[in-house]
Amino acid sequence: MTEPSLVVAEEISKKFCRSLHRSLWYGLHDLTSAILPWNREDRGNATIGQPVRALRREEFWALKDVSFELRRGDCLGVIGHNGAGKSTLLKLVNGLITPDTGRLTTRGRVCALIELSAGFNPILTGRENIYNQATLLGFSREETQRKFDSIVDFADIGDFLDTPLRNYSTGMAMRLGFAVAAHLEPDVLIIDEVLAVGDISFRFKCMNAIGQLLQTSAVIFVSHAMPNIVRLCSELMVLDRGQVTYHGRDLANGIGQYQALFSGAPQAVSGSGEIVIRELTIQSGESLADLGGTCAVAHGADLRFTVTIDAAEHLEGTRVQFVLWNSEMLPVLDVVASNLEGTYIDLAGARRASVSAYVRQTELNSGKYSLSVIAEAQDHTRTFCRHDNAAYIQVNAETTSGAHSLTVAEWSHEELSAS
Amino acid sequence: MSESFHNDGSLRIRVTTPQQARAPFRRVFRELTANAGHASVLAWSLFRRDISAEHRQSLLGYFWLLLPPVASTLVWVFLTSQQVITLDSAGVAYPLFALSGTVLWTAFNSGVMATLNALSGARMLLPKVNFPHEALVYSALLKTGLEMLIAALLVGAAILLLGYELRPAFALFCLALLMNTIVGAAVGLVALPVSSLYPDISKGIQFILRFGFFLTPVIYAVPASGPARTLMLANPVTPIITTGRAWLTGSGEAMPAAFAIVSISSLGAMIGGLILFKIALPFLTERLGS
Repeated sequence: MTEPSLVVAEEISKKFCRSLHRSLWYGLHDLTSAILPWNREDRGNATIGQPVRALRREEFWALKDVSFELRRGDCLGVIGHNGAGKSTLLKLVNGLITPDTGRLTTRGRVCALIELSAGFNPILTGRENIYNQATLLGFSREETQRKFDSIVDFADIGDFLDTPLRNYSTGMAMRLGFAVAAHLEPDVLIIDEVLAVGDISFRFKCMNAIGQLLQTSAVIFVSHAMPNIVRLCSELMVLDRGQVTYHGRDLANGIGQYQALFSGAPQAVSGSGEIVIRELTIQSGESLADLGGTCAVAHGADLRFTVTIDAAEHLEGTRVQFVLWNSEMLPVLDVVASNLEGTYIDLAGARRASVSAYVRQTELNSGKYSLSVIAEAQDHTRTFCRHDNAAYIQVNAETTSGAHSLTVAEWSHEELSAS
Repeated sequence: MSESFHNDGSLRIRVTTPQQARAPFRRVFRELTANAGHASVLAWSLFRRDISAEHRQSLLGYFWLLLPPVASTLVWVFLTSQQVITLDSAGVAYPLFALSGTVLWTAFNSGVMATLNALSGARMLLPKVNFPHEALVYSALLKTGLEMLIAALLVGAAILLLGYELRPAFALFCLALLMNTIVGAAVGLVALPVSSLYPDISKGIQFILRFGFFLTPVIYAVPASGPARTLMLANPVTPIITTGRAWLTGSGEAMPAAFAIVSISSLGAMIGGLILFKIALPFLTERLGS
């Protein structure tokens, strides 16, 4: 017999109110109607598949009709912009708030790794805080004592164990928090962006610990870091303003949809202004985009950037280069000349020039990338023009890889005898 | 909202739906009893945490707990001894009369404020960690209990210092102290949900407490007749204070029947307030959360 699902969400929704005063007033109203037996007119019909009570003034659906089911070993990744409803979903699963429609069932111990230092007291020592935090999270005294050494070992805070927490760095407090939480044995585990703080080695440690917990629990994982999502999750949910826009096991597709949600930042021009961009085109096969546009590119396809610049009278020349940024604002590709710098353009003859760069076989992985055009002095001492978010490219690759780029190699192998 | 817990093998099942449970009070009561173990362990840990944290940072520690009733008593003793004001102490030596009254009043006051502020220190936790929240109330009550224990010791010491006999009825005075804490806790708990949403409630209560002091027989005895007596008898704190003080000093007006009625109904109201608090919490988390 297989174990029943540990989390079952059936069309759960949650409303929120924009105005503070109304929100408090609705809260009071909801509270009284929960207590007073004669004041229940409007909550009774909020079952699955039936109409729900309409939104009141200034209310909106923070989460609308979300359904999913998780078994032990499943990991649901939840991605979306700020305000998409991710935290609301986590609070619902954690049992901190109740849904306005639908039904939510959890089985077993639910544990949340959300802001791990919540609950710490700054005046008490690390040791005391470990005991207090463990009690808060539901450890018994014996359980804490049994796991204490392992917790201290994991947190790796050395001599600071008996120092008041207020003398810890933010990262150290985080480590302590994670160390305690990682020793829980949850059936349902909720993780929200806790890996954002801490140095690289600790982040690796966290990922490994989560990987271990994953095998014995059902996990809901909220993150903005796509590599982590790809590494941990077995299915993905994309939220956009409370609505589920994608839910399935095709991670690449989901991430692509999430990245396509970026409307893109507005174009931004900085620099001395001695060079101005007149025109810009990005072309890949049939797809073409100009300033502010988006060019769809298949993985492995060729790509051409063309820019027309106007230069001020006195300039003799400039270096031009293109930079592609991913949705996490990391530069992932510099388009340079063979000397690994921007290409040099002699402007002595004309005030206007058209510059073109041809990139063969784009190795970028799926995602939306923003283009910056940079024109600077040959010795890099002065930037004439820096045009950010000048245009976008949307790469589509059929892959589950979370890497930034995918390179197609020429592979070979030979058989070796074993003696 | 309906949330039901039951066990399926070893795993606890929690179902949350927006529908009204037919009996939210009974459901929450069951939840309170089911969580009692974890909640009491947690309350004890929170209590110890807060006490030791407070203690460690302060130089004078518990002296701050003793100071207000002592200072207030000294002021009233000074004013009456200088005949600036004349207060009727029903034949009891005024210093003891004022001290016992003030301590009993402080018990009520602390009970109200402790429960009213039970959530304020945990605001950060509410939207993040799921734990038996009643532990916050229990630990607030434990803290008030400790304060009252110290206050009782203070009164005992004062009796001996002033040269009176420490009679067995002192135990009854301690009971009155406990009961007044419970009356206060009941008031605070019932007000807590709404006052978490609207701080006006807590401000209003503090205002009433400030002026209630003068309209309650704390530093004077209940007058024998007149509208002032009617007003004071309508005050639920009056029977606890006057009876507790009569037990302690051996003279003055005791109202054991009213004492019993107020005590029992406050205990009921406190348990009701605790259940109300549990029902209200998801609504509060939703509106206050971050």
